[in-house]
Amino acid sequence: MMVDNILIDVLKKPEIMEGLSREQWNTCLREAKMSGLAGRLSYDARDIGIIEKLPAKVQDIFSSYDYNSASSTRKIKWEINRVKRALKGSDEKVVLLKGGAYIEKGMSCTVGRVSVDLDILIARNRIDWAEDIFLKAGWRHQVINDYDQKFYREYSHELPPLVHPDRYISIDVHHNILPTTSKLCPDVTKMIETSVKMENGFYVFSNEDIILHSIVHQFQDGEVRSSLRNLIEQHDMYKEFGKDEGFWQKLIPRAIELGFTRALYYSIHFAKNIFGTAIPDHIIADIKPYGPNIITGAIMKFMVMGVISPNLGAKGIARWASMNGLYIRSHWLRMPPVLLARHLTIKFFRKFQADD
Amino acid sequence: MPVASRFHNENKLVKLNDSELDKRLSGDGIAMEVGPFSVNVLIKFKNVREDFLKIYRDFPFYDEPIVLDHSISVFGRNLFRQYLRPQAFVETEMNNDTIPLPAKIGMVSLEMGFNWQVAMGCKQYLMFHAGVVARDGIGLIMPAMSGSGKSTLAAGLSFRGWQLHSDEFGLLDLDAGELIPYPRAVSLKNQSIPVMKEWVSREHDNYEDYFTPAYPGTPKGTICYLRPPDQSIEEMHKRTKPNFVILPIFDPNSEPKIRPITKTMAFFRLVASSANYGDIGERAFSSIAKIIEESFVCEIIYPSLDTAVELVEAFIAEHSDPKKAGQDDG
Repeated sequence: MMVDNILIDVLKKPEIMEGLSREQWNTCLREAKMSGLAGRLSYDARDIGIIEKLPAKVQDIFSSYDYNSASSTRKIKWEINRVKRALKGSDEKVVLLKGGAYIEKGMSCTVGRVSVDLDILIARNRIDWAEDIFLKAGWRHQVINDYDQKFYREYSHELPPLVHPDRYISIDVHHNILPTTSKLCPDVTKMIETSVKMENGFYVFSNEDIILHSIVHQFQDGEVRSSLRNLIEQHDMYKEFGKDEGFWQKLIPRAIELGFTRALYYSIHFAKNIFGTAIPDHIIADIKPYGPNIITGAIMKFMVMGVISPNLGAKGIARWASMNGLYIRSHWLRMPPVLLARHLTIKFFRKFQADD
Repeated sequence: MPVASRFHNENKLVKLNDSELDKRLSGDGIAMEVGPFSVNVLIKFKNVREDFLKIYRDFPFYDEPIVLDHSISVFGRNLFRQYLRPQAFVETEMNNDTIPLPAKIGMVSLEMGFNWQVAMGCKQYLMFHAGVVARDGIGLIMPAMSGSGKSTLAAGLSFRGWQLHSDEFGLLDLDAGELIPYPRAVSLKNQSIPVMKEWVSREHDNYEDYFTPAYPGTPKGTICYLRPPDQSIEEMHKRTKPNFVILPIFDPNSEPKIRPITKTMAFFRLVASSANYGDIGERAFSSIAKIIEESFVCEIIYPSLDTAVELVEAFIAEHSDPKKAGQDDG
């Protein structure tokens, strides 16, 4: 599965940035911006010491994204600090998810990364308590539409997002990593149990669970726009976590335990084929039985390749089909058909309301 | 850091003949220079192209391939929206979530797209929500909220001999400490449209030529765009250090007056006006501190454009030697 895509080439081999033509730069930067990866390229160029050899305009554009990612990291750290303050005095186990965890752990995939919100996870029976604490500490509900509020509370895996009016970073307080209506909704207490305490008192998932969360988010939960970013993060994680042999031993059994084997198959398959990620042979052999049948696999490949590169295949019907196909698929996995039909109908008609 | 292009508007858009211009703008787009940015502009609607050229016809374009800061396209999202009930959608390639507008007012979509690109994709310059003008080594920043009349004031000054940097995006080069001109369509809303038409007509018989048609029914009421003065477009790369900060307050029932404010207050007002202060962080703080240290500062309260321009010029004349800045902290 070879992909003719300049951004992927550059992500794999940053040194080729030195030789890009102006047209190639434009394609590469456009895709990088749309995939949220411009900051990453900038970091890579600096990391291998070629930044000063790049066209002045490229350096200039990169410096904008450097400020962006530095500021995002700073804001997330500060928000973590504010959450800590709000929770002062409680010994509740609070798990940082996604960007917050990556930053707190200092993981390699955070370079040049922008996080727009902070995700935390807390036991389901403590969710009202947490909401109360945050509202008292000054956070406000971001979603005030009644339908949305109700939908979040009844069917989703998180509180409606809360935002502090002084800081504009929203915090998503989860009680699970997937909607409770989802066919794949795991027993999250298992993930909370094995989470690891950090110096600042927050918890993060074990390495296996961190990557499985990223994977399930991308391949089941329809993170369509940032597909490529998610995939390269997984690539980084395989590399970083994979140095520890224990990680490989635990990965597949853990995916079986949580019910994420199909998603793990896709992640390994696409990371290896697109980025050439080093995956041990025994892992590839062991995950293979969990792959899809030929037809599903082909459809999935078509859709994933269609969205992975914002402009690959231009704005054609293939991209449209991929975007919408994955959107519908993610919703299909998220909730039962009747609920899904109702939800999409309401969302559809809301498009026509001027004030939304 | 950015390299100012060396050519001086030899490649103006208007030098291309009409059919060529139309073909390129509606085909792959034209890469042009807008202040410090290189932008590829593609417009699928004829009326929007006409309005666009009214404003940008004297802007330089690139004939050779160039690394672009931004690409912007205005188009109908499908055949129905392109031809039958035309609706202008703007794609900034920066994940914008803009509502399409009727194609008749597609120029508003285009300008909103430009705004989005600079607001989201330009963190390398310190940005002020402010009108900025310059003249003879004087760099004047006028930070203000929407509705304070800063666009009208900046445009008003620019048609009285000042160089228009921008009517709403003041950009500062953090390394050089210089204001970077970013002249674009001046966005006039509602009552300010007749005011500016009258103002420009005092200087130019062909004043209508500077304005696009008025676009009624936008989320901000009626909008009309004004082309910056020719000289400001010519001098798009002439930078100036800031040395005056004037906070404009429009009040139709007031007596015109200059109100002194402390430098501390001016500092906080400039911080509050900066859209990316928090993103840039420490360098933004020190840059604003330096600007305030080197600037004369005041508030002006004015009932009309005439009085505003008089107040600005009076305050500047009073402190005409910028080197004396910093001596009269309130």
